Amino acid sequence: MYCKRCGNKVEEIWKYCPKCKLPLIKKNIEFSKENMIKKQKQDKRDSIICIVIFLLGIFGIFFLNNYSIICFSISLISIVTGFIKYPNNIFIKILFLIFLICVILFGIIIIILFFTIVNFILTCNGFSAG
Amino acid sequence: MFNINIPFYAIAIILALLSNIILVLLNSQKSKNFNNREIIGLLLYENVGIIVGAKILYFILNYEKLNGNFEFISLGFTAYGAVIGALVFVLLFCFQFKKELKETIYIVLPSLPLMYSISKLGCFLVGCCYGIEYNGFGKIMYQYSNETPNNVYLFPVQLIESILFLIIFIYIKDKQYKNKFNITTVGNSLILCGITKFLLDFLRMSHKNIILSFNQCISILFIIISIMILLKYKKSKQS
Repeated sequence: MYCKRCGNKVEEIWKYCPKCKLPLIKKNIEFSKENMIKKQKQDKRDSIICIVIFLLGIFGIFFLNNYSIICFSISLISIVTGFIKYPNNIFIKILFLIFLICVILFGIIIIILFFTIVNFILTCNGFSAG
Repeated sequence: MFNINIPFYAIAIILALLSNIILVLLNSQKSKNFNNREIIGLLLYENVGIIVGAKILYFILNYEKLNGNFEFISLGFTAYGAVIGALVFVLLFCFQFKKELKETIYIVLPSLPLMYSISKLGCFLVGCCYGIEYNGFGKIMYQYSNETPNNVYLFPVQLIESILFLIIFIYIKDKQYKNKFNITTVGNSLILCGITKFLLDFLRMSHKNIILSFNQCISILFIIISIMILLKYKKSKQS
């Protein structure tokens, strides 16, 4: 028996996969090794699609200024989907880590530096009542 | 003091987001249905939803003033935009990864009043969302703010709001601590948040010459939805 998400070998008596914590109900278990290999190939193809969509989203953030929010949302959804659904893909792990670091740095540096440098201090410029 | 400009508002926003991240991480440890990756994904979705929602609603409400110019970084924030944005992204997360909405809300909801309380402290320190003119106990006066009328005594509505939302957060944590956190607690907290915001909005300077502000209308909607959730839960419990 194999966990359908991460391919880990599981026992019948277990309630959750110890690797990815997927509940081991009937639809989440793969009984056949051949089907498992087939699924892993399909996952590999799907993870490549995730990576391509992510990179297109990143491209859009920098080159389609008017739609940068939409492109950012698309990148976020694709990389998080890849990170959760394809836990064995190292390339997705690395891309996700880089994305996460950039988001955090962007949040902290841009918010603080921007407000300090352009003198938006002591005001929440543009804030409406709420 | 040393002629250094400190971005109080920005620091308050960052502290609010950090508190949200820490509390969601702590709440999710109790859940058996989320693995570490899903928790990180949920955190990303929720926090991005908060920022995007806050800015988009601000843009919609001030469309004419901004001449339709959507510049993400310079846009302000709106509280209800943040809540709606977080809710939309959390719903998307549940739909995409087939997670139970109720359980996800239980993880995400407790941190929202605390986030709001901290961000209101930022508003208090810089002077935005200021209160009506007031000369009684606890009055405050801003001398260097670009947002408020300077050298005028005002009601500290932002501080009161921050304290009340902190009390709501303590109520939720108390229920969680006693293992009594359920749909009733969720409904009660949402009603309390809605009533608090609705009433305090009357004490803001921006509430002059209007019957009901946009925030008050959204508060009424929140209260109605919460009452419906509570009634539905009571009905299903009885049957």
